[in-house]
Amino acid sequence: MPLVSTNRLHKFFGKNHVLRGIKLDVEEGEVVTIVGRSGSGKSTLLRTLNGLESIDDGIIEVDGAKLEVDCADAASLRALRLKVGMVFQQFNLFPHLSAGQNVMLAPQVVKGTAKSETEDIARRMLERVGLAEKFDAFPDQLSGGQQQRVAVARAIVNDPVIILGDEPTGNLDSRTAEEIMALFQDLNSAGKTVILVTHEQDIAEHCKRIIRFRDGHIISDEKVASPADARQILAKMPAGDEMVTHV
Amino acid sequence: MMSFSLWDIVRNLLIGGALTLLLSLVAFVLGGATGMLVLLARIGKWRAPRALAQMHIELFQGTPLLLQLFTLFFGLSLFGLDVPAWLAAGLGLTLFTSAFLAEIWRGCVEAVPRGQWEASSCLAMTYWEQMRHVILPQAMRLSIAPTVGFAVQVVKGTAVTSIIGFAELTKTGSMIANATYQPFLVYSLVALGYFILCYPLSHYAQSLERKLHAAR
Ligand SMILES: Nc1ncnc2c1ncn2[C@@H]1O[C@H](COP(=O)(O)OP(=O)(O)OP(=O)(O)O)[C@@H](O)[C@H]1O
Ligand SMILES: [Mg+2]
Repeated sequence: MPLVSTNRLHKFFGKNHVLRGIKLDVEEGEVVTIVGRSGSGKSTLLRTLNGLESIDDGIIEVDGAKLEVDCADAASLRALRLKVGMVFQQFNLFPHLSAGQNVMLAPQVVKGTAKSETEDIARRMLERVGLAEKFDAFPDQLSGGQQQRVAVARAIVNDPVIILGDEPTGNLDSRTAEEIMALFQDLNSAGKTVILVTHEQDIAEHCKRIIRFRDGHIISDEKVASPADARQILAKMPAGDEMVTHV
Repeated sequence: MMSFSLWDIVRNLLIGGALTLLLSLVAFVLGGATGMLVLLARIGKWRAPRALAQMHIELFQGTPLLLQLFTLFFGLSLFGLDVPAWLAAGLGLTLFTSAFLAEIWRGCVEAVPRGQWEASSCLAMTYWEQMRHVILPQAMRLSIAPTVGFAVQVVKGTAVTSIIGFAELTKTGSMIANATYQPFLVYSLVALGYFILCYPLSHYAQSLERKLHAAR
C-alpha cells in the first residue's frame, strides 16, 4: 500500500482545467519533488493533498485517510490534516505569537493537550530544528531561515506521516536553503515522507524522486540514483553563522 | 425673569455633558457587542445570517442617523409602544454603531493575509479555532486605531438625539440658550464640551496608529 495515493484527480478554477487526471503513488520514506513551469499546477496538486484545495473529481488517500469529491466533511478533512504537515514559501508564521507559541498552538487547540505538556513538546520540536533558544522570540525577530525552521517545527508537531513543502526554500539564500534541505533530509531519515515543489534544479537534486509536471499532467517520473546530501554540500560551503543541527 | 449666573450655565451643561458621555459609552459598548455578532454573521459561512448582517449594515450605513432615530421614536409609538427619548436614543445609536463597527472590523479581518488561514487550516484547526486564535487577534490589532477613531464619531453623533428630546449636551445647550438669550456663549461652551470629550480620543487614535506602524 502506498502512503499517498491519488487517482483520476481533476481540478478546475472556473474554466481553467488545472489538474487533468493525476495518478500519483508515493511510498513511505520517499522524498519526492514536483518540478515544472510556473502555472503548470504544482502548488495546486500539493495543496489538494491536505485539502487546502477542493477537488472536482477523483480520490485522495493518505495513510488510510480518504478525501473524495462529495465527502470532504470536516471529520475526514481533520483526519487527513493530522497526517500531513505543510511548509510554505512565505513561512506564514503567526506574527502575534512567539516561536514557541506558534508550535504549541496546534496541540493545545486541536488536540486539547494540557499547556504544560504542549510547552515541553514545543521545546522539543524547536530543539529538533536547532532553535531551542528562540522559544520566546517573535517571528519578526527571526531571520528567514529561522522562521522557516519554526515553520517546520510547527508542521511536525502533530506528528504527521508526510511533510509537504511548497517552494520552502524559494525565499532563502542558497546556504540557508541548503540548511532547510538538510532539515528535510534529517526528517526523512527519521521516517517522514517528504513531498516538495520547487523551481530550482539544485534543490530538486536533493530528492529521491523527481516528478515533472506540465499543463496539469505528469510528464515524467524518475528515481534519482544518488540524491545530493545537503550536509555534505554545507560542509563544503563557506561557513554561515547559523548552526546546523541534528534531528 | 430668572437670571442665570455663568456657574448655573456651566453646571447644567456639565449634567448634559455627563449624559452625552453616558450615551456614548452605552452606544459604544452595546454597539461593539452587537457589531461583533454582526461581523461574525457577515463573514461566516451561513447564508441567511450573512444576508441579514449585510442588510443590517447597509440599512444603518445608508440612512441618516436622524431618520433612524425618528423611525424608532415615532415608528414604535404607532404600535402603541411608548418609547422614552433615552431608550430611542440608546437603541438608535447602538444599532448605528454596530453597523459601522462591523464594517470597520470586517476590513481588518480581511486584511489578515490568506497565508494565516492556510497555515492554521494545515494544523487541522476548525473555522472557529482559526478565528479565535489566529485571525481575530491579528485583526484586533489592526482595528484599534480605526475603532477609537470611530468612537469620536459616536460622541459627536449623540448630538442628533437632541432632536427627539433627549437632554444630552446639545439639547441642554439649546434650552439654556433660549432661556438666557446668550446663544453664542452657551453654544461655545457646548462646542468646548464636545472638544474635551473628543480630543483625547482622536489624539489617542493617532498615537496608536503611529505606534502600530512602528511595532509589529
Ligand atoms: N485560487 C485560485 N483561483 C483561480 N485560479 C488559480 C488559483 N490558484 C491557482 N490558480 C491557477 O491555476 C493554475 C495553476 O496554478 P499553480 O499555483 O498550481 O501553479 P504552479 O505550478 O504552482 O506555479 P508557480 O510555479 O508559479 O508557483 C494557474 O493557471 C493559476 O493561475
Ligand atoms: Mg506554486
